[in-house]
Amino acid sequence: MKPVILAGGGLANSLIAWRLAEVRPDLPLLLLESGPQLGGNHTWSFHGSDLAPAQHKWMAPLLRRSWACHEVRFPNRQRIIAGSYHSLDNESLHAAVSGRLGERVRTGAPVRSLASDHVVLEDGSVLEASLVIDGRGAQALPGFTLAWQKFVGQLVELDAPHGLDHPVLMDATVEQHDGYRFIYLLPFSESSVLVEDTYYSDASDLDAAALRERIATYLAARGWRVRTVEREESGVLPIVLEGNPGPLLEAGPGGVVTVGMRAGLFHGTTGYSLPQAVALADALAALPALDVASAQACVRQHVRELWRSQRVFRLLNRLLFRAADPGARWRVLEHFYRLPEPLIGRFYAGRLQGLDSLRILSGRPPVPVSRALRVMLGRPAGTRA
Amino acid sequence: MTPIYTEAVRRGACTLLLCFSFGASGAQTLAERELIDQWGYPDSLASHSGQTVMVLVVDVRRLGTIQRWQEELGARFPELRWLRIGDLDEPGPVDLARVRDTLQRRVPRGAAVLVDHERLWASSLDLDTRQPNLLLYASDGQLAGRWHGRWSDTLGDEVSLAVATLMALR
Repeated sequence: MKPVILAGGGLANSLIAWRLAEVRPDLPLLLLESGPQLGGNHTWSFHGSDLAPAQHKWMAPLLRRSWACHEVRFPNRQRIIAGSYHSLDNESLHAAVSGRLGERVRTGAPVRSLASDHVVLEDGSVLEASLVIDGRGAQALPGFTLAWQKFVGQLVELDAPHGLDHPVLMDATVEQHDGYRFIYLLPFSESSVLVEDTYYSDASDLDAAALRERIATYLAARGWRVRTVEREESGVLPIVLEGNPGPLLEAGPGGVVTVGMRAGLFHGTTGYSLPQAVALADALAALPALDVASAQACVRQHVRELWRSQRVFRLLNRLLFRAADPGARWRVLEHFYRLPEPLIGRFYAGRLQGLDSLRILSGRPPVPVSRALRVMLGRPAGTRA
Repeated sequence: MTPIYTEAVRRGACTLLLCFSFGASGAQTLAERELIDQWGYPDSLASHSGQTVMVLVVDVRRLGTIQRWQEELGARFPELRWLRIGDLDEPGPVDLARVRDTLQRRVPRGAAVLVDHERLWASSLDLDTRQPNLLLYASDGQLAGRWHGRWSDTLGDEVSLAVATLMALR
């Protein structure tokens, strides 16, 4: 029997492989990764309320660290939020997935081309497959109006305990640059912490040197002395303002099933992709028959539903990027964090219900009302809102 | 055994009676209740199903206080549906013919005002109709927001953002 081939060992395909190996242990599959280990060089996080209890259970072996609460800090609001928060990174992902799949994971195997029934590797070898799933990272999104979330993160080992016992998802008390800027802190141990300098920016260019310098300034301001920088990661994630989802609903070249960031499966405003990857892994593993047509239909339905449910997030993105001046974008987020915890949880989970969107946008907004109305109603600048 | 059996039958009968009484009158929701305007035409919130609707409820003698709301919001949201409800907060019997006649003479011809002489809206939603009440209904019929008061820039902005949100996500 030909195997299911998962091209690209990023988060989405690794989770699909992990789940398939658990639910359908007899299914032949092969996970191909071009780099030396699965997951590249990334940290992924999610809120406890993003996943169902059963999903938490099967994700547990992949996690690097969990916390009972998290925090946000703004100039006029500091808040500890009771919901749990969880992280995994490429090391914990690789260790768990390669441990379970063994020889069914092949690293150092870059893909040259693929079709629905085979993959050609860079070394010219051809691997036949019953189904090919392409999860080789984000691709260009033509026809979309985009803004960007970009960051440089450093996992640092300090020479003394940092005193944090929970993550700080946004420390926006820092000086603002290039749109909305905040520092993201994940305390992995009492003296090691991931420090990410993050921007919601109009431009996709990343000046890594400048961000490293700002991280150093932040660490110094907190009195944290760095013994070693253990790891550094960076990213530039798309934030969709508007667009036509048509291309995302089409099959990849040659009828290949595309997943993950490549299929646009990420939260419209936060860029979090893990909850979507978990949901899709569950859905694919539960298909009665894992063939090209079934997998294609499953992914398309997933993408379609996500696009529809993310309408409110695209609206929020337009408000953030078009109604707020770049230097005042932090006010929009500070305003958001006045909301009750369950609503914040549903926002991150991408499962807004009923009148949640109205509650998010209600009250006196931190942006000029006339500009907000124009953006919401899609009217050009200069017209009456 | 007999007393228990009798009690069960009695409870069953009561339940049935309750069902019938709700079926006869309580099943009709406020949205479905038709009111008659000054020209004799009926209308209800339910007949605007699928639309974003602003229901304005105010004492019929204070209809002038809703004019600014309609002008401002009407200019911002031409596609917003309106339902104007004139409430009658008077002790004793109401001369409906006289009320409608007055409305025909004083209200512009295109502006229908549904006369709520039983104060169904005010009593159901606990409204003070001495000032305008703005009730915003989403296209699925959910009450999405309610405000009370005369037009002001601040209140107007708040209401406008809510309407714009519903319009944008419709």
